[in-house]
Amino acid sequence: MPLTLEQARQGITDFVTAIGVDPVAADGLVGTLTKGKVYEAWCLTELIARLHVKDGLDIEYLGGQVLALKASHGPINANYPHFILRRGGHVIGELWTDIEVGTLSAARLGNYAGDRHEQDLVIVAPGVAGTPSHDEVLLVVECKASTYSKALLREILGVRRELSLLSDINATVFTEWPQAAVPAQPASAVVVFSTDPDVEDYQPAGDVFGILFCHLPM
Amino acid sequence: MEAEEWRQLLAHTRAELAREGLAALDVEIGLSLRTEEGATDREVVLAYLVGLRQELRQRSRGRVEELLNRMNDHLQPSRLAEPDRPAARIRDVVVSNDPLARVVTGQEQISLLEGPDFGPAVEQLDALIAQLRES
Repeated sequence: MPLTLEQARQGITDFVTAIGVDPVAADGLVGTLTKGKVYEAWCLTELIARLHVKDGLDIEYLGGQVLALKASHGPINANYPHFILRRGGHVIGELWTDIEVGTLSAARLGNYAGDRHEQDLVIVAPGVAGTPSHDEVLLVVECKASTYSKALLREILGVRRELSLLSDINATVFTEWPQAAVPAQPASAVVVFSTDPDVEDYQPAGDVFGILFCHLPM
Repeated sequence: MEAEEWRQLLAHTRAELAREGLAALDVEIGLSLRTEEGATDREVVLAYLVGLRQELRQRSRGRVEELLNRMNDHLQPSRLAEPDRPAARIRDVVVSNDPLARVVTGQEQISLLEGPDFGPAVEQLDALIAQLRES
């Protein structure tokens, strides 16, 4: 039944009251940090589920009953929870959250201001410690709970470039998902999860450079 | 409702959110909202409310519970666990604050599971949006 303005206003007031959050605490609870981290955890879950179901990996969690995500990125820190990935009983990689990855340009030039890039979810070769170099990275995942703008496309193309050179097709450590082979050397996989359905419009560029764009609503 | 009434409804909604300390949501919606050039006031209001619904849903405790269950379903029992005991399940996700965030929030970490449950409010908003689509 159509509403009058007064009925609609009352409906809004009732709804906002139903939210039921302490106004003093509300801003902190609904801040960007919390939203971004919930989406990162959502993407982590999706990543684990797809690697298990689609790529046949066994995934073991190393950590306590509380999974801690870092507010800021840094080197691999063994005090934080992580995941061990196995295929047929053999460890093929380790999944970490919120770490920095050494860039291809840094490998050529040495340390400089842009020698590391922050990544939300990263799978590295077994036993890697500290800041993984670009050739120790097996997969990076970017998690964007926002409109996926052209600027973000340019950003991920830069990440792809700093991980690998464009090349003929090379096999990754994955058999099916996210990418069994990529036009990149070293052959790391790159995935973008976004709440924006339009993110998949960029897949043609992804096909050229080895990036998988996935719409992942919450 | 006429165009002016839709504009009043949007202003009322934003004021109500601010009154409840939820002004941060208003900004988030504004940054993520997309409407076509030439969109009507009615279309803008409906897009705003759908954006609000999405923002609340993404922060709701129910979504964290859902992801924890799903994650645990796909994890192997830890080989570090004692063989005769069931593997520990992940029961919460926390954000470990960096030094600045600790100063600002006064907390070492923020539990995502201790966040608000917006589920009932989202259901209420869904019903309201459905009625507004007829208005």
